[in-house]
Amino acid sequence: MALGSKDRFVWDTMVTLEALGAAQVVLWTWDPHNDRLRLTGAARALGLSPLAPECASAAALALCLPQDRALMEGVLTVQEPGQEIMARVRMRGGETCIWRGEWLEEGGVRASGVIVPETRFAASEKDALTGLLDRRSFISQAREQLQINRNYTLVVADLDRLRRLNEALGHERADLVLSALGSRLAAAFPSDTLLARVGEDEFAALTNSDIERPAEVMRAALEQPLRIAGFDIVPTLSIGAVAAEGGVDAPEAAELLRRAELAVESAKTAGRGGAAAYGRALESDGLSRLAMESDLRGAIGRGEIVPYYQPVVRLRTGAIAGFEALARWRHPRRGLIPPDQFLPLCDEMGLLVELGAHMMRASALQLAEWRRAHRAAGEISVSVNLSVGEIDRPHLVRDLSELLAETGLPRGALKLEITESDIMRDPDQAAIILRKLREVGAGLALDDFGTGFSSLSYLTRLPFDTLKIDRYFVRTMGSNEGSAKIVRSVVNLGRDLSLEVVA
Amino acid sequence: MARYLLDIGCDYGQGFGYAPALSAQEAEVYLNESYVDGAAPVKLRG
Repeated sequence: MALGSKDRFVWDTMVTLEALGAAQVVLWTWDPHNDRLRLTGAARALGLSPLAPECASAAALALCLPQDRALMEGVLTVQEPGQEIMARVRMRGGETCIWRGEWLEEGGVRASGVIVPETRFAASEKDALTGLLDRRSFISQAREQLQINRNYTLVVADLDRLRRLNEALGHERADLVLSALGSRLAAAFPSDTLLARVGEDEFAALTNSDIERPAEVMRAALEQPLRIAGFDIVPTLSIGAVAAEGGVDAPEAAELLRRAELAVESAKTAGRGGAAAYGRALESDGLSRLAMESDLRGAIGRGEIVPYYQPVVRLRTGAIAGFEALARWRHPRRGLIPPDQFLPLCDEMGLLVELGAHMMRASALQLAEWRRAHRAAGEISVSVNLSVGEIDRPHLVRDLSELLAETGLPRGALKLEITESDIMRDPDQAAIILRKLREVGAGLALDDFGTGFSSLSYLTRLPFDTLKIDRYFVRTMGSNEGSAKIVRSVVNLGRDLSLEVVA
Repeated sequence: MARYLLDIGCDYGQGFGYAPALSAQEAEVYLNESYVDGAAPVKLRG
């Protein structure tokens, strides 16, 4: 509603300026006859600096994302005095902003208003039907919550057969079903749980580790009979869930929701009432894979793939003996991605050798820093996996030699782990390279030992100093006598051949 | 498990039962704790 001259507020200049400055907003006026849009305030913070302090309408339209251009035209189109203006517009390089204003009644044909960043000023909108958060608010609030270092589960439930309900009962009565489900959901979870209606027939809950089996809680709450318009309705749900760790490496909230919804799709294939957890296999979708490939290209150069260090403990003393460096991908939106989700892709894209060289260098530099800075690190080693085919990399020996010289690491401090299958492709050539690596100062470990070495005689011919027993045998030796025998045999073999054994 | 491995003459243990892979910063804290305690601290996985 327009303000008349009697309704005008009294503005204290100082308070106004200070408050507007703190709020990071932009004030605007639009003079269509002279084609002048004037902006003042936090234009830079909102991505509007190319338009400030004033510009023509063409400039504003040009800076808009193409899909928002029609909305911007709506803002600039002359309307009757008193008409309100409200649009969500995103400019190139900026965030989504809400333009609010009004066509003025005095001073000629003009409009005026305020521009605010959506995330700060509209983060608590509710779904009108259920009273739960709507999708956008859910993502916004989940993003904040995921910053806290806890374990979370995002559960999405899709109401089966909503369309059939709509057809049978009519939309208004079907809406009653959705409304009732919203109430039941709110009653089933603690009040601080983020709950939302994220789609026409989709509900979501972001729960922390205080709530056990949240998917079952959701199913128990929602799959209760309802009586609407004389009909007994038993809702069934397809449920998808995804787990995430909060903190600095937390995945982006929208991405997490996408994963949970992908799991819902998978659950639906199992028929009504299905459930599925998000897993790597669900990412077989072509577009998702394409996006991952696109992101992976250049990830090494951008420093997103980093070594994580798994401690190796000296069993006799309990002291730390070293670390194995393992690759992790700190994806800017998806969070920390484990190796089984990107190493196969690296292999297909021919990036393994580049990755191996990067891991070797980063790990050696880190080890050298630790050994310099910490007394406890004086004797520790770091082992790095030679990736498949890396043993054949040209200049591998020279690069390693230069790296050891650069870092000043003593002989054996940097260990290279090679799998038996990599050696068995060309055992004679591998033997030559391994001896050279040993000569320039690398320690050598045979990785995943016990999974298929075709000839033990190679063990005596190759210059290894360490055997690493395949993880499967160590993990199962408590319950599987066969595994326990293999572990015992490998330890004895290592002792007889004067090799250190890591289990 | 560590006791059994030690009994059969195994030198080193890694992974299961000791600690997950740690970021460089976390590994440095682990190193310091190891130095102070004289033994590697056991950390829960994940």
